[in-house]
Amino acid sequence: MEEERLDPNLPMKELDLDADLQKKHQAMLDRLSNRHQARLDNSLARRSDSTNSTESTSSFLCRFSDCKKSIDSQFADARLIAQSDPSRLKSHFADISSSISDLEKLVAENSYFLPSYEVRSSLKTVSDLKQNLETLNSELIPKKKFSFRNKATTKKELPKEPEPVKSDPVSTTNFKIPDSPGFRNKTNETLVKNFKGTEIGEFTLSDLESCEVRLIGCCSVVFMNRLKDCKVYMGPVIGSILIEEVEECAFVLASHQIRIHLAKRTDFYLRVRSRPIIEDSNDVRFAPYCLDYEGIELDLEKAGLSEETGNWGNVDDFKWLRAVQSPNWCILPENERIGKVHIEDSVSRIEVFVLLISVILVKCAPELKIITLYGWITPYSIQLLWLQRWLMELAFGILSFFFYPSCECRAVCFKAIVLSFSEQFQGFVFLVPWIDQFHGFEAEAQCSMASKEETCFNFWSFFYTSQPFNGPMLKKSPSAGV
Amino acid sequence: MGLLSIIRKIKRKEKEMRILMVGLDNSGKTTIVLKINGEDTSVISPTLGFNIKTITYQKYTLNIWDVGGQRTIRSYWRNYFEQTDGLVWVVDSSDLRRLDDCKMELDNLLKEERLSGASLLILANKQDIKGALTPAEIAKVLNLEAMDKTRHWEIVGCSAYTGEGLLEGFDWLVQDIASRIYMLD
Repeated sequence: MEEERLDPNLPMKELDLDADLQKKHQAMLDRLSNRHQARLDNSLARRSDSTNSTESTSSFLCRFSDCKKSIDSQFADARLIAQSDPSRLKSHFADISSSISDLEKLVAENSYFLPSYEVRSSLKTVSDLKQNLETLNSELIPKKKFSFRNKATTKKELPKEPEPVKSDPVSTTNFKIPDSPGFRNKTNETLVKNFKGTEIGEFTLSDLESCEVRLIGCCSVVFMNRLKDCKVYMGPVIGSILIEEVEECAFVLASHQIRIHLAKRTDFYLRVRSRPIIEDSNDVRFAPYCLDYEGIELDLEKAGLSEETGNWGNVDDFKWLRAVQSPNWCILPENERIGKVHIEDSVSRIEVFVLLISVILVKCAPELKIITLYGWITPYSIQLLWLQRWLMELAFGILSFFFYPSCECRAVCFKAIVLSFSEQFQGFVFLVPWIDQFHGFEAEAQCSMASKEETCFNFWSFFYTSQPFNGPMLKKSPSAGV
Repeated sequence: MGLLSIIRKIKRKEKEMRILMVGLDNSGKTTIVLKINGEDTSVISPTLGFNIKTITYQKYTLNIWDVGGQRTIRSYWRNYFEQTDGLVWVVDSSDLRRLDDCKMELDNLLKEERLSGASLLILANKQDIKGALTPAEIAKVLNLEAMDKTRHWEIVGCSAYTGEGLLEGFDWLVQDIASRIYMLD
């Protein structure tokens, strides 16, 4: 019952409440709808934005690239300014950095709608620009080292600095380094040099291919560079030997120190007072020294190498600093070693002596009327002229025999003298058959008959340049008993 | 050489100098050091690593660091730069072919900040060999005149084989360092 009674009250109360609530509700609804409207508007606006996004991205990119171009041109200006007016450089750099920061701001402002790739790439560009500015700054305005100095001198320093840099290449190109004695740029030749009685300091072998080199006697230092497929036999070296870039060679060397760089597939027969070293080499093998020539004992003693030191096998590999054996070198197995190598001069002293006798014989021939063939060929008047010239050259030859240091060179002198007159001795080689023993002398004589001028040229150029003579005559010289 | 280390040296009163010997391989660094010290120079192997020699010279104690010059170990030179009072650059005057290498390595070395205060002695070694360049020619090739004006340097021709010129060079070096560091004496 009570419930029923209460019931009619309810709507009364509700009505009262309802009026309030209604108001509130209405207000709420209004607010909500307002909000909704605003939200709608907003989203519309946004949507319109987002629909335009491609357009504004491109416009952003356009603006961005414009700014970047102007900054780039500012960079270019900076270099010009640095040359013309370095004092303005600082303010110019300040301008550049402010425009870079403007650009950065532009990217930040637009980042909310830009695709992430664009944001990343433009930020990257900005950071690159900053980097450029920094490097340019350090390049054009060098940092001064802290030091105490007088104020007056500080101003002079800036323009002075580029000068030494410019003078650098000039001064180095101006200075020509003279060539040291040596054999260079040869292929397929037998190169012989005797140091006996000479004061040769350094000797160079470089750019040789398929050559055999014999150096007899002592010298101080030897440099070898870029040899390929060569055999090098060398008397003791007092100082050191430096070998670089050799391939498929065999070396027979004795020295105080030996350094081997960049060697490949090469055998070394060494006697060294210190430990030989290799660097950047592989497939190199070592064995003891095995050279012999007349008088080698004296030379070895002179270089302090008369006794075997046993160092030929104590190789240090600078590219292998471990206790275990380096894979780059090994000891040459005994059955693969070459035997004792005996070398000699291309023309030995005795041969030179015999040659001298023969020259005198031939010289006397016209007077003694032994070689009648000669008198028959040459008219008397020419004979006299020739005699004069011949005597002069003989005197020259004898002088050079005693004063020119190398035995080999002397021998070449005599050969040249004889050959240069061989024209007059057409019957000579036939009349003196024992001359055959001068290994190929005959052939050379005939050869030079055909080209006398060439021989003379070689002969004279040899004296003028005082270079070791390696002309065609030596090529035919007897090969040593290897 | 900072102010602090100068003060420290003066205070210590030990009169010690640290000298670093560098140069290309085969220039004769070890031979020079042993020759000065009066040791046998006939059986010197190429230096693998380094040698230290302490020598009493005049009234000073020289700590000479002789570092190997082979190409492989040149990169380790920088480990010895710290606190160097004197730098000795040894040149093989007879090795004309590698003078460019020599110039390049020296230029690299002189860029090093830790060596900026060190006196530089250039020894044009192997003058006993016929055909070797004179010190003046070496100076020209290495372009020493263009060096930083603040650097104290001197070039001396020498021969580690005969011993000629070595004392002259070291006299200059020690005097120069002494005048810089032990100026209160």
